[in-house]
Order: sequence, then structure tokens, then C-alpha cells
Amino acid sequence: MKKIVIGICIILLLPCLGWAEELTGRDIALKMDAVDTSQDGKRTAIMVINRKGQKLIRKMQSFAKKYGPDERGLIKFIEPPDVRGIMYLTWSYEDVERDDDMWIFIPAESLVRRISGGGKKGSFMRSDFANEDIEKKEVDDDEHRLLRSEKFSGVDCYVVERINKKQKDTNYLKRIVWVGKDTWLPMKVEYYNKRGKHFKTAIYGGFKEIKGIWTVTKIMTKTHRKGSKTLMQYDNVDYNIGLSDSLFEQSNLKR
Amino acid sequence: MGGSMAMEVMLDTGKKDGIKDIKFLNQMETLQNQIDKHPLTWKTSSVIDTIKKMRRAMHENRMEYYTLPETSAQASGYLFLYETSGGEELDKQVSFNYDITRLNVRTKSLSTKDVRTFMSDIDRFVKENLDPSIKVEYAGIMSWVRAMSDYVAQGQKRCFILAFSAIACMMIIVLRSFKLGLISMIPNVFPVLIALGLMGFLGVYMSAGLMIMAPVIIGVAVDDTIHFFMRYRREFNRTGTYEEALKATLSTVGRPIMFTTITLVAGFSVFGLSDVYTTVQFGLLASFAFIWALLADFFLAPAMMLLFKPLGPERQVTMVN
Repeated sequence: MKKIVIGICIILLLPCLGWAEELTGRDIALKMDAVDTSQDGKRTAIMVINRKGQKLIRKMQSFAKKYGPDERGLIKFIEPPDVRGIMYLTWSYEDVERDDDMWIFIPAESLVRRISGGGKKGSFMRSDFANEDIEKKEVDDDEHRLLRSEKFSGVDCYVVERINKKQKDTNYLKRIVWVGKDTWLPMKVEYYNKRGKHFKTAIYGGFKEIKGIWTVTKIMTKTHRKGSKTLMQYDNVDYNIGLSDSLFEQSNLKR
Repeated sequence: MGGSMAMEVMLDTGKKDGIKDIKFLNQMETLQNQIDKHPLTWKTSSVIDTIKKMRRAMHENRMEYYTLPETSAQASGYLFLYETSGGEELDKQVSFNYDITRLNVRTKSLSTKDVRTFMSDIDRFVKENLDPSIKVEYAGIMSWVRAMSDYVAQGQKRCFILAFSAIACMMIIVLRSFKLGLISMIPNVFPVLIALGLMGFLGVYMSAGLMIMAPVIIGVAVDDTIHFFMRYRREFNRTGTYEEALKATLSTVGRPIMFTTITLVAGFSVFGLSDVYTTVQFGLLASFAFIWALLADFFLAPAMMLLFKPLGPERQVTMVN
């Protein structure tokens, strides 16, 4: 009897073993989503926007903390000097239907205001990143399809196609992502506009293991025809530092 | 309504982040208000409106906050807020470096004359009220119209003067008389004046296509004039009197001159069938001018001969028969 049960189990499990390599696009997205296991974290982002020889530098410090499936984030701007101290506080929810809550603090006016999270399609601070590239996305916001496996700059990668389910919220027809099989981090993303033209490319780099969590510390995004590129660099990355809840309260902004 | 016209006033502060300076913003606001007050203006828009809207939105949409803030830091804050929420729109209003910005002005479709007054009104205000370190330039349809009409007028003038002097020199040399040469230019220029006069009378605007009209008319009209005057000179030498020479000239070259004119008018009238408006205008105006060139040769030139007697005193010539 025992042998029969084991036998049945083996028979049932065999196909699973056989398909272990055969991940679906969504499985890959779930794996990628699971890379960051931290409860909270902080980092300093430096963004250098280079457009036809002219440069803009933006520097900001950000904090994030997880609340179950939801997340709260705080961004403090450091550079340029005339905007130092401006802060954004966001509470984002896993529930796709629920809009994020967002507050801004402007020190020169000494006011805190709740703002709507619209304008996802807009560019992020005149850089080559769109707001939708920066925001945290839920796995099921997109339709994922595994296209193939191939090497990208010497690393075995899955090539996954992602299509946003809400096409009116996005500027992209699709994105094609190269995912490193070793780290489950993106290596490269190709962006296609609504007419199906590949118009923007992001290359990921500076992979570092920080407190056991693999992290991207450099992203270079180029918009081909505009002749502009943006380098985003993350410094002072740290995880699980025990950030207090009060940091993410709007009452904290106006101190 | 008849369409609209746009002008862009480009303000260059000459330094990075110059637009964020509240002193600059205040100056730009006075300029925009001034343009708004102008009776020809429909609507203006600029980054000033954006800042005001952001400020009002940040203050429960209360209308009393629809103004510029007091400090540069506050203005930077609003610009930054706008920047973070979609830089694409900002790119249309201010340069990447925040050194140049634009003021969009809309008016109804204006005549060239109104465009001139409108632009010089704005320019005067700019010169009198704006800090000289702010470089102001104009672009858009309106300044295009102004530049275009300047070119057309200038070109018209230059073409006419050049054609006139070249042909006058030719006539003086061919007729071997300075006086006669200059007199012969009158029936050449007369049809041009008539054609331009007709344009003014009918309200036809001078355009780039019509610019070549004056030199073409002179160039063609000179053909008949040269026949007429050459013949006249020879007949005067033969007969010795102005009146006799005139009779002889008209009875010999009169007919061919008339036929060439009829041919020319018929030929140029074909342009009247064109779909291109300027070509139609050109063909009909030129035909009209050629008729007047003929009339000038037949009536004006003889009258002037008898009046000015450019070939010296009459003399008795013994008729050798």
C-alpha cells in the first residue's frame, strides 16, 4: 500500500520534474518580484540627465518600508539646491484597483498637500525614465510571455515580453526584458512605442549583493531619436535597518 | 473669424536656471499682461500660467493664490513639482537648462500692417520695461509674415531699380541721345505704374510671385518702344520735322507694334486659366499693362516728342524726289 502511494506520488511528480526548466513568463516575473526580501531599505539616487551635451543632475534620498503586500516610500530631494528639502510620500497598495496615496511637502511654502498619482505616462523629472518605469509594479499589471533563452553580455538570460493590461495607462505597446538566470534581476529592457517601434533601451548594471539581496545599482536609459540618455546610480544602499513607522506619516513631512 | 495667427516671444535669460529667478518671472509677467491688454490679442500662455495654476492648486484652488509667489525658492518649488509630474509638457515651455522660455501669443488672422504694429508695440514695451540682460526674440507665423513682406518689398524695389537702370543705359546707347533715351523710359515705366495702381485699386496684395511682374513688364514693353524710337529717329533725320517724322513712324511700325501687343496679351492671358492664384494675377495684370504700354507708345511718346523736341531744332530738308 505504502509503495503504491509513493509510486503514485512519483508518477504525479514526474511531469513536474520534467517541466522544472519550463518556467512561464509569469513565473519569471514572480521570481523577480521575490528578489527583494527586505522589510525596509534606503538608498541615495543620483540621476544625470544628458541631452545633447547639456546636463541636469538630480539627487534624492529614498526610504521604503513594506507593510505586508503594501509599501510606503519617502523621497527627499537633495539636488538641485533650489529644490532641496522637497519630499514625496507615497503609500502604494497591492490592490490594483486602489490608487496610491501621495503627498508632497514644499519647504519654501511650508505646505503639505495630497496629490493624485496621475501622469504615469509622463517623463520622470525630464529624464529618459517615464514615471511608469520608476514606480513599483505588481506582477499581474502585465501579461508575461517567455520568448526564448539567450546569453546577454555573457550571462544566461530569459527573454520575456511584457504587455501592460491597461494599455491606456502606458506609453508602451510592449517591453522586452532580459532577465539574468543567476540573479533574477533585469539586465536589459527594450521599450516599444504604440506604433511598435523600439525607441528606448535601458541597460542594468552594477549588480551587488547587499545583506544577501542582489541589487541593481546602475541603470542607463537611452531614448534613441531624442539623443538623450539618463544614468541612474544608487549609492548607500542598505536593507533591514528598522526604519520607524513615523517616517512614513504625513505629519512627519512638515518638521 | 478667419483663422488665427501665433507668435512666440522667446526670452533668453542667458544663464542656467535663470527662469527660476523671481525677478525674471515678475518681468515676464508684466510683459504677458501687457500683451494680454493689447486689443489685437486673443490669448497668451506661458510658464507663468503654469506656476500660477500649480500655486492655486496647492492652495485649495483659491483664486487669491492665482499669482506668482514671492521668492525664487517658491517658484522653483512649483516648477519642480510640475517637472516631477510629467516633464514632457515642461519641455514645451522651458529649455532643458531653464535658461530660455517662451511666451505664446494668439491673435486672429492679421494683415501685414497689423502684424507690424502689433510686433512693434510689443518690441517697444520690451525695450522700455525689460531688463536688457534678457534677450528677446520673435518667432512663429507672425514674425514670418513680417520678414516675408520685408523681403518682398525690398526685392520689388531692387528688381525695379536694376531693370530700370539697365534698360535706360541700353536705350541711351542705342538711341545715341541721353535726352531721347530718358524720354523713351517713360512709356516703359508707365505701364508698370498703371499695373501697380490697378493692384492698389482692386486690393490685390503684393506677393513673392508678383514680385517679378514689374521687371517683366519693363522688359517686354521696351521691345515696342525700341522699335518706335529707333524708327522715329531715322524718320526725323529724313524729314527734319517732328510732326512729319511722327506720321511716317506711326504708318510704318505702328501696325507691327500693335500686332505684337495683341500677341503678347493673348499669350499672357493664358496664365489666367491657371489654378495658381498668383499666376492668374500675374497673367492678367501683365496683359493689362501691355495694352497700356501700346497706348503709351501711340499717344504718350508722340506727345512728349512734340513737347520736348529732344532731337534739336527742326530743319528744312530738301525733298529729293
